[in-house]
Amino acid sequence: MEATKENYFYAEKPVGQLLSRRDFLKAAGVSVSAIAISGYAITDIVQKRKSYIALRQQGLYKDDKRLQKANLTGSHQNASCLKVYQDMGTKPMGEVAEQLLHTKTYVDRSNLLMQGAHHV
Amino acid sequence: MSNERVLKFPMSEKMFHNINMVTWMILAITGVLIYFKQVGEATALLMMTFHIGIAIVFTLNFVGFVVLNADRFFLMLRNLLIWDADTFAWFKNLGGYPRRLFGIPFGPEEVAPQGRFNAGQKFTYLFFIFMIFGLIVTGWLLYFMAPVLGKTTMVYFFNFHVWGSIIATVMAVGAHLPLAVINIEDFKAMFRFGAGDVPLEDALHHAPKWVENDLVKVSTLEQPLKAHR
Repeated sequence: MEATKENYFYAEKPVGQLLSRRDFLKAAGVSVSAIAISGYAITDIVQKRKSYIALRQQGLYKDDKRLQKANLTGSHQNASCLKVYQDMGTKPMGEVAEQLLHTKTYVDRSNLLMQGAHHV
Repeated sequence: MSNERVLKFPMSEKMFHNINMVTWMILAITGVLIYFKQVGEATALLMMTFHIGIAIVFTLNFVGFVVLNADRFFLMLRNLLIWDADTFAWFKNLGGYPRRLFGIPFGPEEVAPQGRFNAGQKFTYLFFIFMIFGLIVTGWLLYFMAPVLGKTTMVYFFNFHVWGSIIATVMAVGAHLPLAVINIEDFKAMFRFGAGDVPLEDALHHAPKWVENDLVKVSTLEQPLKAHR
């Protein structure tokens, strides 16, 4: 198309003229918030996960020490458990115990991976 | 009818939009086929490799636009974040589209004057930008940081990644694309080679406040490329 007198072209003013200080702060605020909030959330998740692991570890060591003091270093030494075995007339790894307590089937749960399923 | 035209989409925005569109659709198609188990295991593995490769282009396109065209990105955000009385008034009749397209007498006949984007576009494009950012973040976290973040977080991110992208794709294909085709001058400006310009009448009809407040006359047709250098 040939340029004529009527053939005017319009374009946006330079960005510096359109973007006021308020506009810049608004746009920058949204951008920085998006980056900061997601950055904070991800860091928080990672840190919390690490703290959960550390707390669990501390708890397990604490339990171990308590049980060592009570001379109960294994579940088979637990008085309540031993009484259950005695009442049933069996012993740990005994035939009746195996029949009643041991799992007999293995369920393949690999198809539940990453689908929000929880262990049953 | 005058020959006056308005530069609506500078080259940088056309490049960002079109690369984003092509990579988005490839990512959506490969993702859906894998998630809904529409392909065999070997093909799914190949598609996931493809998905990751295209995701690199998708990410670089967005980051490149934001960094290398920071002024255009900020201007776009500025235009999307203007929510004045006329923007809210648009929702009273949804820009007159129900009346125009389906003959439904919804709201007043007159459409409130809009700026560079109308209220529906502002809402949709803000959602699209949020989703592009969110999908990039969750996608790369799923790829690189799964063992660090933990199972619950990963499931949450995975659901956001899958269902967020599906919702955004439905909006893009079901609303954004048909409305772009209806506003055919915008469609042609976006996809033709060269400058993304539309007739002045069209800009005055759809975005009178933009024409009035944000535009400047740059004389002849020789100028469009210089205008945004």
